[in-house]
Amino acid sequence: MTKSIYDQLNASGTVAKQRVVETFSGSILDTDRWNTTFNGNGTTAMADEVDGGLKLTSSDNASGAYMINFNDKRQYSNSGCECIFVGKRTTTTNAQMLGGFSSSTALTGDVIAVKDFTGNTYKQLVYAKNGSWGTAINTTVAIDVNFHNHKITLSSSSGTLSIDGLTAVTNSSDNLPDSALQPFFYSGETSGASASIISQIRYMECYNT
Amino acid sequence: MVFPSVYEMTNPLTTVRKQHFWEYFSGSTIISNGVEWQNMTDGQSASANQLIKSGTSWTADATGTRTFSSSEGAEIEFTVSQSATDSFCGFDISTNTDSYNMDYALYCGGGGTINIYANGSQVSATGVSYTSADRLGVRMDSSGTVTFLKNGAVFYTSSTTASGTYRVNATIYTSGVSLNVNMNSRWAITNFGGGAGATAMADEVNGGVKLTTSGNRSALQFNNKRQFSNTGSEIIWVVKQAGSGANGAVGLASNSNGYFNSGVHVDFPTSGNSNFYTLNDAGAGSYTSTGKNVSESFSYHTYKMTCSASSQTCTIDGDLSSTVTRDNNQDPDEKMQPVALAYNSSTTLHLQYCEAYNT
Repeated sequence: MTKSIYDQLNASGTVAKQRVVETFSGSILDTDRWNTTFNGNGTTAMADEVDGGLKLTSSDNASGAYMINFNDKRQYSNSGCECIFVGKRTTTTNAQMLGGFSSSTALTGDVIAVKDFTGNTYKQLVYAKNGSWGTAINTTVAIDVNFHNHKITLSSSSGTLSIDGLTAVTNSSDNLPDSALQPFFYSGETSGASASIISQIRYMECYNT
Repeated sequence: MVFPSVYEMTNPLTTVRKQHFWEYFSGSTIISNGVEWQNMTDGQSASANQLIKSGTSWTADATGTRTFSSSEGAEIEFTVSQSATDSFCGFDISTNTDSYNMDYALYCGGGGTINIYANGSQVSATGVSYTSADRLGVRMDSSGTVTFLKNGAVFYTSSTTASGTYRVNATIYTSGVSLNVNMNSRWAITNFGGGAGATAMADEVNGGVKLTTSGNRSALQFNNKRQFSNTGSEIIWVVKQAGSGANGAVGLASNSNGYFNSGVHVDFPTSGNSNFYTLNDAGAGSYTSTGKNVSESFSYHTYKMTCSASSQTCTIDGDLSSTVTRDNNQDPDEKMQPVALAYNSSTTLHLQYCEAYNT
């Protein structure tokens, strides 16, 4: 018997909500789906590496950054959505990787994301509401340059980050997003020096709950 | 059982998912991509992949954001909004922003014909006409050969081999004219034997996408983005071929030239049985019969090929047909990409589904 993907993701009698699955494979990034925003140009390229996924390289300008997003097509609910992505920061110095949900392509509105920053000791859950960033919450997972599975669960009352299937931290205080969201992944320079920063992503799935 | 996510259908969250790709070949066309423009000057502006000119001048410039090397190649296809106007579109060294002085330029001239330019000088008055209905293209293959196309047919090949890192580049002279430019897609086609490969979604129940060639070999592949392991990966193709004298193949391979070096593939010859091949990067290897007469390839079957550290296997519709024990001599020895191949102009491959993943 043929089983549909629909039936494997939705209980009988329920109506599927918005969902996107991206596998970051093939010749190049699907730029019909993904929008790119950047400070100082930069590039995206599928990695010619086993399990390499998509490689985002920021420009070598000071504060260079490169980001993929949905060009402000915000279909994910701040009161009930999840994002699963497999990604990593590749550059080892003066670099940060961010991935999760944002209401703007400039990260100036609402955000909930995981942050791997070379200036920190641990990966963090970061979040903002109307451009006001809350205090980042440290996980107990050390920063590194390895691929991890990151899952962000956002409800009307809390935001939770799990890494590799284990709940890391929950924020149930303030500064949680209060507007509709889009997925994003970001690679950026942090020191003001001139250096290209590379981060990679090989899977992203987002859905409303 | 209902899964909360596609991720958890195939992986527990406690494992970090490896590269895993799938595609149902369905829709209007195979996935395409618009060029994203930057460095726009002198009256040129962009709306998505459309580059628009305001005012007349030869000094305008715009470049694509994506770079590509001459060893990976790229292809653009574009339309011009008005016939008998003046615009250039092609490839230039990535750091250049010098108007129409691009290395490989297709010039749509005011006389309604196409000329080829290199570094600001005309190298060929082709006499090929164009209108706003024509699909014009510039293709750089992975050996650096640059060809120019109209509606999918090559009409000029550059005598200068590309070398270095390039971007898409465009200059529009005529005010109000626009170019809609797309780059090559998730899937790329490489051609050999003087022909051209093409894909088209089939307007048929269960038709998938059709791969054809006018030459003796055209391969649909990932443009040498090889993310699948020669010692731990699997690929599933749902495919059939059509046409008297058809000869196609599907599998995984390191190269994009249709020879499946460092790879595994099932080939559908013009007679006899289908065979399962394993080859190393030098092209040495072996094959075993699948036990299926090639006549069966004219109906859809599911071909699953597995590469592990100890062997390569092929199953057809769930039944194991061939196993090749790895002897470290004639086995895949480089990272791989999905490949489908039409060997001759009699072949139409119907590709309905492809899934590849590392194990």
